Amino acid sequence: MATRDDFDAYFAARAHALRATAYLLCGDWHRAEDITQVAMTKLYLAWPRLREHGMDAYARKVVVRTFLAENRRLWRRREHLTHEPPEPVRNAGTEDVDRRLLVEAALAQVPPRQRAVLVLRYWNDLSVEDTADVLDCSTGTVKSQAARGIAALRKRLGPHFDVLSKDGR
Amino acid sequence: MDRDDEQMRALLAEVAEQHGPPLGFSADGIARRSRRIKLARWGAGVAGSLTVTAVIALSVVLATNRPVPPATPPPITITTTATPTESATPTTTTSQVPTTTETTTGS
Repeated sequence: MATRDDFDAYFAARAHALRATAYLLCGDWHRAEDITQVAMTKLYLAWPRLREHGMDAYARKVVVRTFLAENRRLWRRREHLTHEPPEPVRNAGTEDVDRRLLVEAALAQVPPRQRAVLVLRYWNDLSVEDTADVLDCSTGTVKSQAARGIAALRKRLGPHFDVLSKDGR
Repeated sequence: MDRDDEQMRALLAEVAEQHGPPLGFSADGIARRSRRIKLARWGAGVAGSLTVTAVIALSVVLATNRPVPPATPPPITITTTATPTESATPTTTTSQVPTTTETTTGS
């Protein structure tokens, strides 16, 4: 059975990675921290029931579902999606553009569920089946949402999509 | 499609691998918060059980202490039987609860 020490070790090892996932989903460090805290609390409560290999999956599932639930709750307060980028200055010069901010802004324009699919598939490296399990949908939905998400991101980034992804790593 | 996958991985890594602000909570804080939640859930469970028990007990008490209507006397029945008497006259018996029998013998 898992103990408190195991939880402390898990927290030390995985809290930052979970927060990074939450940050990719919501694009705000404070919100990401809240989501991670909720996930960690739920993980602690479920800790005695979880098997060792299921902890990451459970934590990821809580992070994604908390994000999506919050999004549904807060939809009135969020910015509305528009066809034009909110800050056209970022499109001006390619050399001066802060790449990270550009990607963040583009990612923020992708609908939440598509963003969740992209993050799970390409940041957490989950398979289509595992992503479908986390989001509680079919594998076909995951594939279509991923394709639409990539298309949306490509559209937002325009020519920067290829340049940024080549220089990214 | 594989190229798209690689490009997406690179883009997301670009954003996620930055260092954010220091983590604002600790494992101890999570444990404390979880204990409070457990306690609140336990309290809610106990309160719910007590409420259900109280409701059941009250219903039982009300059902058993229902006021009993006053007893009504049973209807009076009059039967006439022929009793072998000396005068060989019919005997009229009136019964009532408590059962009383009156025998009228013709004189």
